[in-house]
Amino acid sequence: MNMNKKTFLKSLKTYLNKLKTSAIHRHISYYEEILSDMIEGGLSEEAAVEKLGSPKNISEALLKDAMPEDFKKTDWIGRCFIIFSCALLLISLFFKIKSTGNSSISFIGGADGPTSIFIAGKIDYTWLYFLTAGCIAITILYKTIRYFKH
Amino acid sequence: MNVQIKKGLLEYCVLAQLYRGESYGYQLIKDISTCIDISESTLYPILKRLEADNYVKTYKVEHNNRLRCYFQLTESGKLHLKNFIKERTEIIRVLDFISERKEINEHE
Repeated sequence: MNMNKKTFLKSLKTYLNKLKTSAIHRHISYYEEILSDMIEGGLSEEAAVEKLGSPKNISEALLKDAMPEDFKKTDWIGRCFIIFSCALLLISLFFKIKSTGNSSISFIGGADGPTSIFIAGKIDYTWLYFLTAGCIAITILYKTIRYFKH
Repeated sequence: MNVQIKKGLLEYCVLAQLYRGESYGYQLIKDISTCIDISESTLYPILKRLEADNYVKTYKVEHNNRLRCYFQLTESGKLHLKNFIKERTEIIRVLDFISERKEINEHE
């Protein structure tokens, strides 16, 4: 597989990302220590890593043994922010496309009666764009703070 | 060796090795491997469980600019090990029972 110590640990860390940072750190410390000792004992980095096995298999066993409290809590607030941001973005794009170029008038029904349901006009959606930008900014800020907190 | 049996025995192998003196991960694997196969990934959950059960305690020692985790048997761990060793006669009796049956079947 030609992995070295650094790539092995990095790979293991990635597979373990569902766990809390503290749990991940404990696991990585153990394997880092074992690898250092194996290398000190005379093994090459590649041989030592190969002896340990694949990070994927190791992580599967670790995740299977993990307690529920070792896992990261799902970030519901973050998810809501992301969904709102995407929804607002789509709505903004929709209105932006609608209001550029030809304004359109949509009718329902025949010519002799019903009302137009959309009157083309210079309806100002600037507030919507600001709201969208704000929501996206808050989402990014929130996620950044979470990243540094954990 | 049967996986379940091996799992049960390895825990006591670790305790027994630590009874001979405190040790660390890599050294434990080297020492226990002289008797029974144990991988780095197998040892790790065993050590975690022994620590959670308070049979071993762990402390860090600096070695070559890095921290090494040492494990030491607790009193409760010593007792746990001794209780298992006391069961030796009974375990052998069960093994004999199993083998005896097997021999009978071979002759049928």
